[in-house]
Amino acid sequence: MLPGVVVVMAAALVAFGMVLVPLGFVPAAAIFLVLSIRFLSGRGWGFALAVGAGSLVAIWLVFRIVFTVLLPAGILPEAELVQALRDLFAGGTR
Amino acid sequence: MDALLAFLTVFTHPELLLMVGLGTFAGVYVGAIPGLSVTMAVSILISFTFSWEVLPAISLMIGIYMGGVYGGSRTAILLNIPGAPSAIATALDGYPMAQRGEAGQAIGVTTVMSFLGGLLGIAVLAMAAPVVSDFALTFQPRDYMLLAVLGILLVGSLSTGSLVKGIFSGALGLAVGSVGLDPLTFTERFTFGVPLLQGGISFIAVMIGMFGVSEALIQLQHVNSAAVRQKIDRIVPSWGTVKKHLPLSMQTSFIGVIIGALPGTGGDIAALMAYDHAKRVTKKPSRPFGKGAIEGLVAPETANNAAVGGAFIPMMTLGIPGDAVTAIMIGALFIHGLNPGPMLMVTQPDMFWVIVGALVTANCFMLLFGLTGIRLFTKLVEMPRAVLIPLIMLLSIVGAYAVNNSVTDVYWMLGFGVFGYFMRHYGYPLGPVILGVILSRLLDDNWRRAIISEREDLGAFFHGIVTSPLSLALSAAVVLIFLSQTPLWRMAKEKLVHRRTAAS
Repeated sequence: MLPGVVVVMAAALVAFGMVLVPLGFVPAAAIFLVLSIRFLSGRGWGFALAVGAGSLVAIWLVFRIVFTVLLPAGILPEAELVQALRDLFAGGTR
Repeated sequence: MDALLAFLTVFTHPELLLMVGLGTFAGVYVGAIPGLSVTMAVSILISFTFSWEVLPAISLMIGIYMGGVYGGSRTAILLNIPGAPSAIATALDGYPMAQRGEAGQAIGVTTVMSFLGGLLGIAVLAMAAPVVSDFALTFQPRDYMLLAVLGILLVGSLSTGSLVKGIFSGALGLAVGSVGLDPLTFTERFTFGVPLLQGGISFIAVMIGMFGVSEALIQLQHVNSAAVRQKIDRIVPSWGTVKKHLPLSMQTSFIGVIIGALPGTGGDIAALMAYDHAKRVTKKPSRPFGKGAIEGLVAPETANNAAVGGAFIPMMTLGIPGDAVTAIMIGALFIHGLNPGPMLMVTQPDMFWVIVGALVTANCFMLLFGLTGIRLFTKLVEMPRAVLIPLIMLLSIVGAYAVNNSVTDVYWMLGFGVFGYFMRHYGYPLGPVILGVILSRLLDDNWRRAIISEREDLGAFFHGIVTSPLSLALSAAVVLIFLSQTPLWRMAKEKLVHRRTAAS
């Protein structure tokens, strides 16, 4: 007998994969993280939003900026954001 | 001289030193947090480091490997939850020690013993690998083919005990690995006319799915198990304690190296066998085994870290991975255009010595991080799984996408993740799948070469096997593994025992 929680999370993963390109990585991941943390932890929306958003920012910074991994941009103006961040750091070190 | 310089590369390049240090630090925590495994971390990391130079990438992975094998012992001692499979035996005596309030001492002994075992494993690697690779240059293609078969069978029969399930997993891996265009004639195989399958299935997607998503799905079942707090005081063990257990640790280190060097078997089996050995040879344990004997801690911890060095021996000399992590590292080297095997040792011996240097460095960092940072550690391990699991899933998706920038790989990854969940659920080992995928190329290439060199004559091929002592020994080992699982073997054994008792 399959545990329900596994079915739900597997379905959430497949849905994540499907919206990854049209929506873009950041919005898709934000929705996935907040919903699944809320679902799994059983705690309030505040907790899920804070933890989800916080870890997403950390992951995005590490992988997009440090590892320079290309992720589907989707609806977010990601290229401009990356450029702005680069300028910020370049300005800081000068 | 060149070897020495290459060996010191890691120490003279701050960037590499930093990578090894970071890797080891991350590895200790990855290994310690139940639900994160080294195999998972390394397979996800491949996709993030493939655009790097090869040395920083491999340094980072070596650090994670070394730190992770050690890190598993932490939670085994503190929570009775082995953070990694190689720490299962550690929990047997480590947790009872923690229950008596000796967690600090247990962690200290574990750290120093892991360091000693790791060092010995690396020493054996440094001495044995050049010899083995010289010997390996005389191997015929058919010998490589037999070695690959032997590796898959070994991991299949040893990891769960059910050879049938092991063979199924290994064969699945081989089948997945052979999808696409055949490397020699570009004939389509298993593509069923679907253009998408012509490029084959990305093995990184398979790895991340099997070790990332499927593990996370399994973990969902224990999502609400609470973390336990432990008080830890002094952890640096006294010299007397270390000296007393030195003879045992040497013996179990050698067990670790040998088990680690066998293709397909890694730290988990080495640790269990070493624990068994300690139980047999220790006349007067400090306490009965299973009730907090230090000997029961020394044996598995030296063995599983010694197995790391051992696992690199077949990987570097034959291109055949010693365990799942080295299988993934072979994949990483493939991506960077390197082909591990005896030819790599001849054409780029520096590569080997840099890896040995990185291993030594990682081992030292492990000692450093092991004896410090306890407070941070207890905080991090208490990370709730409700947060951890979605993050693992997110990283798996990012990792699968990043390799080829293709969503197709994400779907493959998710597919294998769900499939891997069912395999775990029904007790099928996943290690042989990865070994099969990685080895399918080697097996395929060498089978074709062997049969072409015999002018496609099967008779001549078997004649070659029978007349070469090495091929004969390897085939005999393959046959023996099969026989050992059949009733025939048991009957023969009973007969033998019967005759012996009758004679005496």
